[in-house]
Amino acid sequence: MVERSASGKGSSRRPGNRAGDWIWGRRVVVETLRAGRWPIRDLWLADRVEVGEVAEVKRLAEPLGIDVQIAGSDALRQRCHTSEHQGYLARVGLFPFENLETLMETSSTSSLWLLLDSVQDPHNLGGILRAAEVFGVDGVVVSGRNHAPVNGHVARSSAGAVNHVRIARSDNLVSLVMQLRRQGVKVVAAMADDPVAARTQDLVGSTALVVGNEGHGVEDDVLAVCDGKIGIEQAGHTESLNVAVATGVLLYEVDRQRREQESRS
Amino acid sequence: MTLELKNPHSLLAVLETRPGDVAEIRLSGRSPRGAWEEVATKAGGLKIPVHVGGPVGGRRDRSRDGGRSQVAVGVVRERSGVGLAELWTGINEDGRGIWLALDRLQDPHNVGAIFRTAAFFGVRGILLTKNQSAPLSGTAYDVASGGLEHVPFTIVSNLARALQQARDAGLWVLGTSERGTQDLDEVDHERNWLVVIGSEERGLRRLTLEHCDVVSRVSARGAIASLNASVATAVVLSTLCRSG
Repeated sequence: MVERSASGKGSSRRPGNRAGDWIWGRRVVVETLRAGRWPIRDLWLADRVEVGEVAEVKRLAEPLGIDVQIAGSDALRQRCHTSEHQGYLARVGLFPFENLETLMETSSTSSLWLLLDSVQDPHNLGGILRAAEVFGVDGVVVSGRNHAPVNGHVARSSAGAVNHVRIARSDNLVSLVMQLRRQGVKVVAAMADDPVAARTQDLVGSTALVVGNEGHGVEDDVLAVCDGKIGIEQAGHTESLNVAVATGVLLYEVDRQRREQESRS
Repeated sequence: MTLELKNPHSLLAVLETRPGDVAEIRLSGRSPRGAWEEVATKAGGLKIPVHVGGPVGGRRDRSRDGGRSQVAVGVVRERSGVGLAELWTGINEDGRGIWLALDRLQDPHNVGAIFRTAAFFGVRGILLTKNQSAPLSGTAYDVASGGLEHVPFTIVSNLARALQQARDAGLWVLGTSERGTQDLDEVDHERNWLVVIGSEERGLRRLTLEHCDVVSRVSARGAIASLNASVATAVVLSTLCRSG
């Protein structure tokens, strides 16, 4: 439903509406080249970009077999339909999700997973990935029919984390949750309604945090198979926190407990 | 000055808290859905003009209300700030309180997100810088999703002086920086704190740092050393607001 209305005339040409289309901005483009994970098809730099920076980009692009093309700033803007490109623009292939099974083999006694149940807004997805990198999440799994595609907007709001965090896709979150629990991972859903304060829960052992859609949260069938639900103690009166903000706070709490544990042992 | 709001939830908050500041509502279709329906009903009940079917001027909002495209805006007067002295009133009432200061934040999305978070945690007031800072635009109101109606704020041109006044009024000033000396969790949460958040690129200015009683760091393991400003703010607030 959402996809259909989003592909109205004209809007499909805006950056990000097609998965694996454009990325832009100096930091994002250079990080993507450096990481070498997300395939770059074409690369443009604006003619105003300094000679030294052009040379650096060429040095990174050459081993990957990518030609660096120089064009006017306006030509870049016309291609990606945003003026926020800072003289850096690349056409990328589809985002290379990691194989879910391979990702799940990475197990340790204190692994940390993030399962996203139809997180829809690219800025929220980007913000979540950024927090995931900061707090050392082992893997992020996106799921659900309406989840945001990993695109230029996500890359930008993730501050480049999209190139470093391991990301896989699942078409069956319920069975993934059950698999994780069989492996001894504690699976908790982040909830706005009626949660248990995260500080009162032991999150030192292997943990998976399930984060739901901006509007309706974690789906009931997923919630039914989780170990429990956790949340953030509220002191004010707004109904809820933004989903990326709430995820950041909960990941901080996991990290805090683990640091505390390390300093004790 | 008037603003065009495109998030029905931010409009609902204006309708609840200061309905006299809503000039008009403009809807593209005759049958608004979800939260927009609530906006139209509330506005109609308050005798606020609701225009249906004419040019709206807002961008399409397809992120909410079932995902179908819908064009709607509400025209509202911006909220006025309070005087600096008024911002600290209530400092000695009902236990500890938390205030925020934003040191030249650049992105209205971050400012809006911080207001939303501040409302959630019951922040008593927010100090904003006037110069070289993101304005309180319609975007900030919409991202705040009502938060801008619930937290008093003051816009100052001299943050350092305002921080000094806060200290004189009895607040403790807490800065956050990657070069901070104290872990966040060790900060005494039984005090009245004014938490200063630095700008996205530059962090806290030197003069701002000099006015902090404590500078703490949000310890993190990942490769990117810093969190987004709104997430960092939420981490600090949740830590200071904890009951235990």
